[in-house]
Amino acid sequence: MGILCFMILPVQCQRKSVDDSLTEPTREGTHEGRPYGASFPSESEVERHVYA
Amino acid sequence: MSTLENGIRCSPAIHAPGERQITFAQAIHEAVDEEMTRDERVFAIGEDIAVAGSVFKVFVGLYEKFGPERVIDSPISEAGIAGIGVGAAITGMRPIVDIMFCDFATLVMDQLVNQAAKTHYMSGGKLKVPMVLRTTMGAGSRTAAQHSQSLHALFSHIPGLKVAIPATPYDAKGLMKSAIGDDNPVVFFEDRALFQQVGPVPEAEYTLPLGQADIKRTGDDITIVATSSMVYVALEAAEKLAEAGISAELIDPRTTSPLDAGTLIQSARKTGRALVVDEGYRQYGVTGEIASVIADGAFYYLDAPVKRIGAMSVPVPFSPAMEDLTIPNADSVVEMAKTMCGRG
Repeated sequence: MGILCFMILPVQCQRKSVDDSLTEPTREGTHEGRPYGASFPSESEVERHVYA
Repeated sequence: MSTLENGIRCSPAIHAPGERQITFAQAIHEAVDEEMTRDERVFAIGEDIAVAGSVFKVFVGLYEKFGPERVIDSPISEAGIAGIGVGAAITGMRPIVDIMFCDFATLVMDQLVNQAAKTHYMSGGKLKVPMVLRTTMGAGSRTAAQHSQSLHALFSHIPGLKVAIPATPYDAKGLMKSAIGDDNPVVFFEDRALFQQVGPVPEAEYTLPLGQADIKRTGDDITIVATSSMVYVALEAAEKLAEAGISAELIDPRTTSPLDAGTLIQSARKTGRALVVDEGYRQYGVTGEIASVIADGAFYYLDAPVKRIGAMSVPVPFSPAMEDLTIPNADSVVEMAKTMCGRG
């Protein structure tokens, strides 16, 4: 348990240095390594028709 | 942005030296007057809005200027008023439907949620509903549980509706003009406590886009997101926090749908802390959605969990002492912000 805490704490303390590319909000997501958009219309594409 | 003596930068909606000062009610009046003058398709319908100029006197003079065909007193039937508005909008008019209290907007749910919000989508884009439903919200006026609610979350939940919730006269006028000109149904919430609020409003023509947040005041230590009358609660809190050495940035989303997620996330990433304040019920409320957007977009930059303050989950009490307890105030915002900054 103690070893686990020592492994996690440094990551928590350095969270602001995490690569931005991992933290950018995304609407696409992935499914089994493929973007959802590959087989389904993306959410934004569907939403595009809601408003005039 | 203008800079105060203490170096804090403020939005022109709050501080604009030398600018004309008018009330929130006058700002709404001007917006409607200008749009009715500009476009003959714009008309207003509602209870007591014509001869009486509305119960809150926002429309005084419009009936005399535009006549009974464009400023229409209706029977006491919210569902009927909204239905007329939806039909008129579909057939080419630009109605402003006036619902006196948002508590009564529950009576127009079918017209708004099942008809207005879906007509464009279900017609494959062939029809549109360019309608503004303006209504009032807010507690604090001792009008008890059925005339004091802030129900903007109900409408923000519905795809196809836009929801504006301005705090200042400047925002109210610019957003109202955009709402009237928009091709979608817009639900426009005005806090009754703000009608006599004075603020800078340019005489020159301007509009404000629906979906663009405003940084009311800059800061570095914590982001406070506040809507409608809570903007003034947050401004008071920001002053008190400054005395304690905490620099608060105040963001006003101005519209809850569309929501300007980018500005909220950017500010939270900068300050590392975010507190959301809204007068709607806290449970399943606007604060929950905004907090979720910030947590998702700024998680790795946050030094504290995103917190939120809303109205208590009780019908708004008639007793003044109890009513005041149920809605957010500056002291509760200060206390929460200090705790988040490790000064509690």
